[in-house]
Amino acid sequence: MDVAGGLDNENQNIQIYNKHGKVNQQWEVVYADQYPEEPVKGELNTDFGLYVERDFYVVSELKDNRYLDLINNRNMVIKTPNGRKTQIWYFHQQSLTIRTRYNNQSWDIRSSGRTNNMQIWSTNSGWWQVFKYEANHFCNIDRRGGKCLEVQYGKDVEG
Amino acid sequence: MYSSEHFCNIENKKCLDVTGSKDVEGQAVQVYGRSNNANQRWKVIYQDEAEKIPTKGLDKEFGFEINRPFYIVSNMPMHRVAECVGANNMVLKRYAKNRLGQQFYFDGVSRTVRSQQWKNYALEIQSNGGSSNLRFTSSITSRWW
Repeated sequence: MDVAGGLDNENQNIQIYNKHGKVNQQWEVVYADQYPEEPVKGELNTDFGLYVERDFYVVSELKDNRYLDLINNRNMVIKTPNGRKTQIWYFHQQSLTIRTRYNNQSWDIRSSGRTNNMQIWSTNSGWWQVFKYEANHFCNIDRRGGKCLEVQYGKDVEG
Repeated sequence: MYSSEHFCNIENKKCLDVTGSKDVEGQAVQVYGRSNNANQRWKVIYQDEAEKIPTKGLDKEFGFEINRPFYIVSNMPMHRVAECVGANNMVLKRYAKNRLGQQFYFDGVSRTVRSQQWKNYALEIQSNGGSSNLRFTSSITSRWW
């Protein structure tokens, strides 16, 4: 049993294919009465390092401690705290994505992960939308890259 | 008449015979001139002496607990689960608690994997095994595919 194309995407087709042992052919049978309970609102998701649906700011550790924000309500930038919903984020358990309170769209590496630019986009739970918070870093789950959220060029300036 | 593990007609002496000696599910049975081959030999097991078909516990040959619902969890990073969509194809989806389309069970009688949502549907390789696609079907044959 094989995930077509090795793509860990929602609604990706499952097929059969010659055995090669890669991760897209690896499965576990978990009996329903033993399936681990997922954390609910207010509980910590230990795999992702974030509390479910508990609002948070993302504060840069550059000198001026600006907040993660959006410009044009789409692209990620750093800005001083301004009280707007574009600076408020929460972890959404069902999709495993980080969403904005502005319009509930999810963190997203633009062009389905083929660029380094961060934006918000409609939730699809593709690997390019899934990040873990670990040791003060937000890193993407993709095994190939493992890229982390970064202020471009390390410039601690508005927008 | 039944004699020496053969069922033979009393008139023409032809015996009950699995065609082509093919030991596969759904293979036709006919009468044929007597041989001593396995495809003409049968045992009679009276129902009150027959072993009960297990309805629970591990099927060691197949590795499943019989009739116990399970999820099929991918080892890819998101650990999505297999979901039967519309009693047809199987796709990857995020786990959703109690969604029956994501639960399956092993049927110990037909020895097939069934959908917990559409219990009369079994997992098969489409086109009698001639395709690479997996789907659920209500035509359960228990053939290799």
